[in-house]
Amino acid sequence: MAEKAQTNALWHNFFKPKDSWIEDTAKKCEENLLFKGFSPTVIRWFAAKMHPRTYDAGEMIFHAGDEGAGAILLRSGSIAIRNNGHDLATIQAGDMFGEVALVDGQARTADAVAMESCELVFLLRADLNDWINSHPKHACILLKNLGAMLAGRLLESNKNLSKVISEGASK
Amino acid sequence: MIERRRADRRAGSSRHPVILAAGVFSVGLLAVSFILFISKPVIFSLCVSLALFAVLSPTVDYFLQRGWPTAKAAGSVMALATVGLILVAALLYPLLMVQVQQISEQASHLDQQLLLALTHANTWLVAHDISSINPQELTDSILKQIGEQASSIIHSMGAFFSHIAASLVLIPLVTFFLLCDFLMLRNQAMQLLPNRQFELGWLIYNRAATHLQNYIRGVLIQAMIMATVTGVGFWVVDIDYAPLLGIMVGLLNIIPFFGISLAKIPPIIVVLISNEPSALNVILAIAVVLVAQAIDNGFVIPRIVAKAASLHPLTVMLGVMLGGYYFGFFGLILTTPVVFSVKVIFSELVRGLRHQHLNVRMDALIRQRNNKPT
Repeated sequence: MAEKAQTNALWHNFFKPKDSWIEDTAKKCEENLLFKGFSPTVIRWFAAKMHPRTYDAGEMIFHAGDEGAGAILLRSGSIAIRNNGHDLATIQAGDMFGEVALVDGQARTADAVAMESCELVFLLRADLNDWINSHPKHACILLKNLGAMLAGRLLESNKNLSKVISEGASK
Repeated sequence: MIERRRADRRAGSSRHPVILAAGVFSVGLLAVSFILFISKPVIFSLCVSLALFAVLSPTVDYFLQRGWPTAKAAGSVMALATVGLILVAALLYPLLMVQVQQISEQASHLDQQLLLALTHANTWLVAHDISSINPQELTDSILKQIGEQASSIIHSMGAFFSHIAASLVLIPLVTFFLLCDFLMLRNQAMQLLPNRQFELGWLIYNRAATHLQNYIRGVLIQAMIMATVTGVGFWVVDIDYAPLLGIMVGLLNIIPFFGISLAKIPPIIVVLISNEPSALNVILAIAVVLVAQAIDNGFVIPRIVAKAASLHPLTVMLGVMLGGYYFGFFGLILTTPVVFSVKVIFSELVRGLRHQHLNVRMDALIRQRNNKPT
């Protein structure tokens, strides 16, 4: 009890980050394609560098065309990806989105709106670039994973486009 | 139109983006001014610590990314920097002190040396039927001007170095804590941003910080290059106290625009107070500074400094004059980085808010279209 009171003291926690979200983020990152091939230690280091935010239902996370500061990992809740008011996809807890912004200077390609109260974390491009510059060998793995993620998105978009075209033709 | 205004209000931006950016910027500026006012007694130590942090943080990051604990990495880098500083001071101090002592002894004969040089010049002018000068009057006038300039520079630099001496304890402590906890404090400060401005805030911060770090590193490299080039130059043309003069030129060159003009004064004074002052030596001393200036303008500034500080020359000139007038030597050095940081922050703020404003209008149009009966 005394130990608990000591760790909860203001002077112990004022400058210390709350770690619960870091552990949860690290767990979700381990299952994410972007961090495939990385040790839990490296993934936890990345998680500690991320920035947690909470959004209310209906709140806009980003707009298409906005310059993105980084990718976003959804910890809880769900998010709709929209273009011109039409729903394109739904992001569930554990998914990463907006990873196009990790590629230097790329704008957001669609709108993202919180469908319910959401907890998410931002992985900023600046933090990632610092890490890439100092770990070129590991960076190759991460960039390969990022390439695979973006290729997956492109494939998904192509499938959706083909579906829309075929539906339009059948009408 | 009404729908657009409603949509704007819902998003909290009912004003034109430039006006909104100016408002946000003014509030930020007021907050910064208030913090500066409150922290006035320690502002010098904070600024020097921030500059040291900018220089040392890449090395600390290097160790952190190799798994060192933060305190160990920051402590080791601080210890290395301190040992390096002490070694350089121990090597240079005796040499510089001897040279300063010799200069001050010779400076007491400056009036006689100058009078002698001007008398020689007058004899030469009269002999060639060109003109004539009054050596005594000219000597008095030159000495008076040099005295005024030197006393103002010495007073400003004296205040600058007395600040450093008074902050010898505070600066290492603040630098150490910045190296340990700056990222955490920064992240917590950025968490205060509203969701809508979170990414924009980070983009602005990253751009301004990158520019500032590049500028500080660029200026330090520039000062070292100028000190080396002029030091070697003075040694080659056989002017006394070459290392000391080189360091002085390097330090003065940190002051934008006016620094290089001021840098010509010390070598001329050294030539004039030497045992054999001659016009040739004065010309050579000025030539060394001009060659260094040409290297600076042609090579160092375009490659190292200009990219970081993309400001109009008139802005820098006026800024440095006003900074020097209000804040002395400290203002001369800090005005340029402060002005271009302000420029980067304001322009990025306007750009980001303009984009958000357009998005809000686009949303309103989409909603309007979706609500229309088909």
